[in-house]
Amino acid sequence: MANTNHNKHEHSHHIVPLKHYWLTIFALLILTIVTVGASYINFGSSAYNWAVSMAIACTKASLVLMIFMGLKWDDNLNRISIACTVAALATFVWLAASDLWVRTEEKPVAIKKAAAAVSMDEVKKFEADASAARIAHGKELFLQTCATCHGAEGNGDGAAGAALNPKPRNFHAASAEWKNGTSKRSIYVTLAEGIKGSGMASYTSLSIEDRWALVHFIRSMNSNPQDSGKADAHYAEVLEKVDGVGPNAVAKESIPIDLAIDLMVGDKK
Amino acid sequence: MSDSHAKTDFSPWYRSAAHEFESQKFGMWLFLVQEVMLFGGLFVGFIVYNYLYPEMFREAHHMLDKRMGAINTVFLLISSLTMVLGVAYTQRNEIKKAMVNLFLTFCLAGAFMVVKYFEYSHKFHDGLLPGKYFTNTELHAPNSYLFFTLYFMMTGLHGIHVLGGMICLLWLMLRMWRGDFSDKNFGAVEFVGLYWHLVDLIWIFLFPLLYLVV
Repeated sequence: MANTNHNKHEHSHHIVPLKHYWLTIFALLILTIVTVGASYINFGSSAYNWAVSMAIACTKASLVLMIFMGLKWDDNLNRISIACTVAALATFVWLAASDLWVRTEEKPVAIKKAAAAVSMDEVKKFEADASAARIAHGKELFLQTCATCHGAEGNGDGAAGAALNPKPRNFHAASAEWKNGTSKRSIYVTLAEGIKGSGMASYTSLSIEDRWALVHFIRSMNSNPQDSGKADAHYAEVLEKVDGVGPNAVAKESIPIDLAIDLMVGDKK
Repeated sequence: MSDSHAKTDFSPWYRSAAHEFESQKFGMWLFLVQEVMLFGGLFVGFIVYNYLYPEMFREAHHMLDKRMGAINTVFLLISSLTMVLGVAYTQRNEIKKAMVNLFLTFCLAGAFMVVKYFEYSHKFHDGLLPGKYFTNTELHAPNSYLFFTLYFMMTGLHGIHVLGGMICLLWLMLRMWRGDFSDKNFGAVEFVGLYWHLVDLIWIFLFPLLYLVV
């Protein structure tokens, strides 16, 4: 490491003339008297009193470091080490102080109850509404979200689904081939929970309304959708646990994203 | 330039005795740097709580005796002088003078601890104790114990360092008595000296913070 300092390090150790030490102790004792005296004077504010006191202390410290500890005559890493340490400590003090200075009293953040969950009645309406408008909306969602695996026509031949095993459902296939069946509620459950052991994920990021629109569109692709399906019995539980709807609904712990954004923006005031 | 102050033998993995000396000194500086960070953490804690509870600190710090603090400051400052003289005389091969100065350093450190003893007993007597042991009724603020937690932690840790220094000084004096040191071999004296100056440095800050500033 110290190849450039090779020669510097190896000259004889510097002997400090004693007079430096006498002068230094004299200065240190004087400064001690000064600092005790200064503590009786009010320099205007607490901050100023501190500043004066610390300035005197730092002067004393410098004398000890430079003369008694020999840094004045040291020409190597020792000075850098102590300087960096002081800088690090000053940083910690600064960070603590600057945090304290900008603290105001804590304001409790009032989080209004998150936008009310969808009611059971609304869900029933979504279930019943298989109008053309809803199906069109469902198709739009399908092309955005589902077509990559299920194919634009719903044949299960989407590019992203090519490597999946089992393959994505062909929605034109007979009901018996569908994992959960073709009933409205079974398709809804599939969208909410996905299908274990396959590449079909749960799409709870879509709202209840959107998922129902998808249900209606998907069914519209099939020539003979059934009224009952294997996952029907599971529907009520899904509504409660996954969507937070129903008498035994589990309250969702997250708040809607737009409310979160409002709160964060509001915080900056 | 003749290397007259170098040891005549040194560990073989160093280029020279001077190289060994500088490396050992650097090692001691690294230790000192770590000590600064150790006490630094406590200082930051003190600053934070002082900022948050200025009135409480003001009232509590009046329970400390400025005179005792000032006397201790003087003791340590002079002990720093005698310490560096101990090193200086060893470097000049004036071993008797060096011995005297090491001994004076030791005594001044002892005097410091005696004053501390009186200060602490007085606090114990008045119930001015750290944390949950605080029983004093004179101070008004309910969190007055905080000041004394910091006071005992900081001065206590410093006191332990003074005691450690005294043990090192005893060791040095023993070795010096045995004739280990000379103008060719004074590293240990110098390095203990560096440590001792740091102990003094810390007190230079402790004194105004705890005893003086309002």
